Amino acid sequence: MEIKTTETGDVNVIEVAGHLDTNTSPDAESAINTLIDSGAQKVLINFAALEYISSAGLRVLLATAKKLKASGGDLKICSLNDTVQEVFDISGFSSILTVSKDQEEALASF
Amino acid sequence: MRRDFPRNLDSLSPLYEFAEKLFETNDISPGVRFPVHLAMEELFVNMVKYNPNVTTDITVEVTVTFLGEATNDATSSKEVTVTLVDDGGVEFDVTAKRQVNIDAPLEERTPGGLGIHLIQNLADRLEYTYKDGRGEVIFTKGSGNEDV
Repeated sequence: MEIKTTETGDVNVIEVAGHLDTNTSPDAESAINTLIDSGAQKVLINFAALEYISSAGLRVLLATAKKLKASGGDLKICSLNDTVQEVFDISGFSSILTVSKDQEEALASF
Repeated sequence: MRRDFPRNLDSLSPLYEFAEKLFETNDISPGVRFPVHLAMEELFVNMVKYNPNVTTDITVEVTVTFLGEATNDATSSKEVTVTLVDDGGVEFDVTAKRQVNIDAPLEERTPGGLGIHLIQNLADRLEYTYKDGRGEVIFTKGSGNEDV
């Protein structure tokens, strides 16, 4: 898994590539928490290069969404492949998280 | 293919490599690779986490069955069966329905049970037996039945 963080205006964009699974989720959660703890309020996670996600990855997203909402912030997700989209649909994450088809649409939704 | 894995999360990387080798060797389609990989991870992690004091290895066996003509390429129909044997672990029926309310709002969602919920929804068949301290889970997914 690789994580790249950039800023677009007041939105912090996190690009996650590879596999978000039991082995890699702790590192992803740590990187996201570091960002939030430094004051990030608007967070966009771009999954364009994400190939695989398991329940461990979903737990990180759930914790992140709750943490941001509690502090008045917002988490949005974009660019899911078909496999990850199916996981989101089965788990109900498509309903509780804002998911956009691409980064441009996601940035406009903040 | 059959292999014993030490019962700890350090086994996950070798388990992932085991799965990828199997997929490549048998030219398994992407729509089957994902649920099989997910089932192996979720079931193995459950067996580790729910049995912290058990030291026996976990056996993982994978078989590929040709459903039609055996051409051994990605276009032929294949069924992949993954069997995990948990000798010495507690009883944990993965086929039992869990309390996962996927319609609940964000504030009420909890992470528990998500892995099993995913497996139950992605499997063509999911079987569980437990006898004399030995649990066995069989997850089956075939091409042509891909959910993803």
